[in-house]
Amino acid sequence: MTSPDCEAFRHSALDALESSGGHPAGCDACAAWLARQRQVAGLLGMLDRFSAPEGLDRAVAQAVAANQRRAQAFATLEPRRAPNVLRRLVQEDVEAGASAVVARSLAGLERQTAPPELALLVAERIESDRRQRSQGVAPGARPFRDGRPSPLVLVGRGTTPLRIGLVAAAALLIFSLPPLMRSFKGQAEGLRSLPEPRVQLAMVTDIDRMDPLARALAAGVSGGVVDISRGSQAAPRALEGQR
Amino acid sequence: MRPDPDEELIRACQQTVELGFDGSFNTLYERYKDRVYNVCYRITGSPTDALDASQETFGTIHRKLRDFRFQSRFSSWVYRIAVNASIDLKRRNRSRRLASLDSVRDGEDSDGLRFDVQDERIEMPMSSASRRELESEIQRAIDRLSPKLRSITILRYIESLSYDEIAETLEISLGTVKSRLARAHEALDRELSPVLHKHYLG
Repeated sequence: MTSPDCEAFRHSALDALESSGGHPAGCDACAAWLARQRQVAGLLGMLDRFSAPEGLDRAVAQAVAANQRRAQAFATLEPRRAPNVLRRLVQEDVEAGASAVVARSLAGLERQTAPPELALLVAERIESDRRQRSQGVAPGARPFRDGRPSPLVLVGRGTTPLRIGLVAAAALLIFSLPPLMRSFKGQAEGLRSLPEPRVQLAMVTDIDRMDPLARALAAGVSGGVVDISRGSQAAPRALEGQR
Repeated sequence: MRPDPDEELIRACQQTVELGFDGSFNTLYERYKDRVYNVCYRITGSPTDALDASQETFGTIHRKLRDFRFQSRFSSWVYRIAVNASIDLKRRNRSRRLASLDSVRDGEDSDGLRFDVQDERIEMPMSSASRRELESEIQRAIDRLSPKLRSITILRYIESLSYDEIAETLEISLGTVKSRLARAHEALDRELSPVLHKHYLG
């Protein structure tokens, strides 16, 4: 690794490839380096310099002629004034900010057509659902690996399985919340400022009236009995309850 | 800044209504064609590419001559255009050249050195074949340098530009010129080690 003095010398020495000051006299490494660089420069200096070939004259003449034709063509173009509406459009963009750019980008997005494979997948799904129903399995329910229906699946139509699933979901919610809240109370003081949760027990027979979270919970807990893809027409009956 | 030796000729070109390949522009072309061609050849390493790069260089000069404002020397401006044109062309052609037979043909051409040597300063202590072989090896070592180091080596050792002129041409500081030249020397020292040994000791 070279010292700063050696580096400074070597950078300046390349200019004239002569020793700069007395540094090489006192530094064998730099003296050897200088001799070597003179050899490198000597080799580079041996490279021939060529005359430009005749073909270059023709090539440049063609390039110049092309430039002249282009300049003449541009000279015939009339300058166009920006339309008055441009000012309004620019102002709208500036005022709208990034949303205008986003809206324009989205408007330019190509509408995709559904791929042909989708029809096949939908047909397969419908057929699978049909088979499951004929076996007494609620569509979408996951059977055992050997194809036997899960014991959690209840056979039947109507609202009985639905009610059972909903009550199960509500019960889960009621009984899990108190222990959670007690553990919160035992923690940092800041949690004490959290409002006490209110629990509302609701019994509904119409899936569409359920809270989406409760709907998903009911579907999961019932093992697919609660079919969230279908709903009944019954009106909900809510029970108010407080913890 | 010292007066530009080409100023009169450039002004004459700029005042010509329709600047063609004659008159003042032709005089400028004759003055610079060898310099431009040598820079292009040494950077591209190929006579064919050197011709293309030179044509592009003079086409650009012709197009932009009216906008030249003497903020630098005209020669520095010309060299800059030539260096950039050569580097761009080499970059564009690199993958094609590696994949095609052109690379073989170009190699043969550069080994053959078809063009006349007009510089009487060159001494020829060795046979032509040995000299051609040596030149090929030196050119190959230059070809292996990065574009930045290659440009500075060519401008310094082929065109004999001073540090100031190189700085103006490449639009870099004097310190950068020195450090790049030092790196170029270091790289060439490594690449040319066998040649140095053979030439100076063999």
